[in-house]
Amino acid sequence: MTIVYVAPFSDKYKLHSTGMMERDQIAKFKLYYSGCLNVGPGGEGASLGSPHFLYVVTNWGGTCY
Amino acid sequence: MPMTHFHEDDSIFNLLADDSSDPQQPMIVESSDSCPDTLVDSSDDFPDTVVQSSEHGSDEDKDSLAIGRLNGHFWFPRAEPQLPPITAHSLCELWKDQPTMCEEEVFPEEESYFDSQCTANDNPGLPDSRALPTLHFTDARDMTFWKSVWSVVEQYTEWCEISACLLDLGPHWEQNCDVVTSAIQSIVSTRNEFKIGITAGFLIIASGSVLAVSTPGGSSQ
Repeated sequence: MTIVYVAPFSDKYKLHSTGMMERDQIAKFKLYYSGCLNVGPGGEGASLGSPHFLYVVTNWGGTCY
Repeated sequence: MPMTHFHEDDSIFNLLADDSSDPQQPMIVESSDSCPDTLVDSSDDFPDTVVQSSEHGSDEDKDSLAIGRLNGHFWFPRAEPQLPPITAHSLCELWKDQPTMCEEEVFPEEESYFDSQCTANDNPGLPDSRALPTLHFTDARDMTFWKSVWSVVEQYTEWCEISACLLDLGPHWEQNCDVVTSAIQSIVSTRNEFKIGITAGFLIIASGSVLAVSTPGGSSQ
């Protein structure tokens, strides 16, 4: 698991939020990278909390990092 | 092609007050016929030219959700208005008999209402190089107000994908997106057939299978 973005909030409708960033990145990688397993557009159930993190989970070596 | 083909008189985006001389009143704009070269505006770029709608302006309109369009952008009022009576019922009234219009005119023939003049870079969060008009907060003092707007507008995504427009992409945001994209690309480029899941969370201590992100929705455990 790699943290790639930190924001003060998660609301997907709020600029500079992890929710909005999640949607942006999922849209890109779903389109151009077949290994992206996300199904939904992202930001559906963004939790509360600050700071809030965006991270990428991988199956590298069969283990989630 | 025009960004959208809403009836000017029918769209909720044109239910506008007509007194723009009062800074507390919603601004009024109408759509142009073409998409701008770029959809990325700075926060200071509220349109200088505001076209008044001569066909609206009743007291009832003034209480309505005021969203204008200009050059493919949807603009919210410059000044925060009083909370309008935005309810699912009221929007249903506004959109009464409109779904058919959306199907037949927003998506005429085989054309998409997404403007082909725009590029993916104009709105990087959208797939297929489709660029949608961008909504701009002109006053974000009270997010509670806007959240109440979003929550209602979001119910109508199946008609016109309005919620897909709810992106406020400024230059800094776009740069941030590029940086994050590069970071993710550097991760996936280290291995072939890498499987990834992108998600957001408050806790950075997490466990679980990558398959968790294959469930509907972008978020995962």
